[in-house]
Amino acid sequence: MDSGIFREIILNTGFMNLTLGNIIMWAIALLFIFLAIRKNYEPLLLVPIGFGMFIVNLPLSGLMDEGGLLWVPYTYAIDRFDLIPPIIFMGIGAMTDFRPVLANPKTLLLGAAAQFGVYITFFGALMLGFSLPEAASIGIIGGADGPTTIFLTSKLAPHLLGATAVAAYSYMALVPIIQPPIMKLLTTRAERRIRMKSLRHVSKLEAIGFPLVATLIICLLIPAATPLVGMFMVGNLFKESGVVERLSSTAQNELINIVTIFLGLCIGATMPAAVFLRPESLFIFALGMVAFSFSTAAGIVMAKIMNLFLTNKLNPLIGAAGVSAVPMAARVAQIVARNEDKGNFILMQAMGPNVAGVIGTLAAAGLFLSMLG
Amino acid sequence: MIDWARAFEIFIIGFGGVFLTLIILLSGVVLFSRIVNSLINALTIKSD
Repeated sequence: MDSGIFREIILNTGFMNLTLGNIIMWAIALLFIFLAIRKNYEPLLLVPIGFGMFIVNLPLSGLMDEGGLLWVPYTYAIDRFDLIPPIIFMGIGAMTDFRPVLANPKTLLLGAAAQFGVYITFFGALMLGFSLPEAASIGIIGGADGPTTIFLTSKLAPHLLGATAVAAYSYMALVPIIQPPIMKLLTTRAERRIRMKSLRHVSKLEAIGFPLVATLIICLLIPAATPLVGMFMVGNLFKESGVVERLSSTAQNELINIVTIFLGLCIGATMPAAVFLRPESLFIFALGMVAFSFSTAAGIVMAKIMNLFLTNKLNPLIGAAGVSAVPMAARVAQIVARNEDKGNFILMQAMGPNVAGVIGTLAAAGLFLSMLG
Repeated sequence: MIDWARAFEIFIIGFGGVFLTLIILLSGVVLFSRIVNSLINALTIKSD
């Protein structure tokens, strides 16, 4: 055999092209996969993201080269046409129950207040040298909403997509660890023990009408939010109408599962070592934490301010559910409340600010797009 | 060089806009619920 050909084969193996950066990225990818499998941290996303990160760091794989296996869905379904995040929102809409918001619409204000962290982090990112569009993409992590973060970042700062998406999903998974200390710090024991009134019954007609009313109001005010809000609400209309069970079931099962696979793999694939292993990624993770903490705190403070004017007091813990990690943030509020008073059930009341937080994050993203897109 | 004036403008319009949007949505939802519940009550009374 010609020694030249043999030498060429050897030089074209992945082994000969490995870098230390690739190996570090494998370790990070394996950490994500470990956390997803062992700790159950957002496994639906972190398993494909981790594996996408792993295979894109195999030298010469060509997955993200033009025409490559993951380049095609990334380019056409995320980067250029932004199809996947709205489809995910359709599925989320089909799984969301807006009755707690309809029964207690005041909780929409908690969802608005919890966007404070988005803007604090926006300023933090600017101070660290990020541009305005980059700072907006980092700030939106504070909304704790993965698809919205991906939607906004792919439009404003696509080169930060991997880091912002992973930060958003990581912090969503870490809600039960991050939020309780902030909740305890900002509330007294007596406040945590406040029992809230049961929610009123919401009629079927109200539940069916809500997605139409909300779409009309939000999309007329913030047209840039229409792709996400529209899909979110049509998914909800499928569910609430009760006459398109097959569409509702497809949106919340098969469709969302298929796009989640591609979303996770593509996001992971945006993180080759040369792109991810930079100080900016560490800054983004640190800023994500700031965003999340401030959003939690702002929701709680808003609930306390509202209590100054309300006769039926809110348990301020439900303010923390204003970050839109649904339903995890509401569950955390319930757990913290029950730790103080075993008979206190605030889960349904906390679902109000929780879904309001999703709407608030969509509005924040739409406004960023209007101003910077 | 950071354009702080633009950054503050984005903050005011952005955060203010989120609040304004959700306050308008709140008003819309309250109004919508009242109309729907009034209709349901009227229809229930009529059918009784």
